[in-house]
Amino acid sequence: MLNYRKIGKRAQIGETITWIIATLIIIGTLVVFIFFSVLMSKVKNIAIGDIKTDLTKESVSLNVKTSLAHQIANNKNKEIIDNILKENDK
Amino acid sequence: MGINKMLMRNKRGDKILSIYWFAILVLVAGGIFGMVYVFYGTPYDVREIEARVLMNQIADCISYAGRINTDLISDSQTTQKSGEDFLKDCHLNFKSSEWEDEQYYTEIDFYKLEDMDNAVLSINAGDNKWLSSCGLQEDKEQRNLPQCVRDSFYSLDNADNQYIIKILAVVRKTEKNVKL
Repeated sequence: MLNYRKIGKRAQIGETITWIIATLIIIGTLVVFIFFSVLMSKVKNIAIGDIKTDLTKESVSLNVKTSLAHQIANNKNKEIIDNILKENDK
Repeated sequence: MGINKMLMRNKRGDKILSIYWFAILVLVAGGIFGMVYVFYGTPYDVREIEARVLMNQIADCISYAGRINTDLISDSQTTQKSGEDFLKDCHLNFKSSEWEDEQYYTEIDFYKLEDMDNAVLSINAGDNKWLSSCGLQEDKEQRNLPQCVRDSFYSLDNADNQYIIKILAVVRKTEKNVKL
């Protein structure tokens, strides 16, 4: 004869495990999302290098000034000056 | 087992399940709230851009169309200016009602091409206590410290003497740009 009580208890255990796993999945998903939002909040600093424009390096204000001065001075000591500026950029 | 007893058990199960669903709802809502709070509670750090803007503004004041401002250097003769006078001439105001201390510092050094070790003219303005953080920032970026930006360009005076101009711009404003 079938033991209905035993079968019922097994079914209950099975169902409980399903709920526990579902809970863990929900908590896990939340933790992953919270972790990513913390990571993303840390990269909220906007640096000039991050800004994507079609402008070339020469069009940046200070470089424009340098190239204008080179033109006025007919490129006198251009190589030396450019090397000094490059050194300063490092 | 009597029918009444079975119905009572079912009711209790329903109750537990309702509490469970409610707990999950609170958990998910709390999680979403946490995510939004963490992301939007962190301010955007725009100090580097602000320092660049300040630097460009200073550069425009020092040199225009490749020539150095004659108020600063004229025929190789330098005119030493105080920080306040310089800021006034450049239409810059480092004082703000929002902050007790000045949140900016700038240092401008003019070097003759022939002598890159000794500046012929140095101007500094703002609160120089922020300067100490620039050395630390070079080792490792510390977001709580003021942001320092250095750049240099080339210009000529009215007698065609060649100069390299180095500018340092420092912006603090930590409270508004970093979550402390």
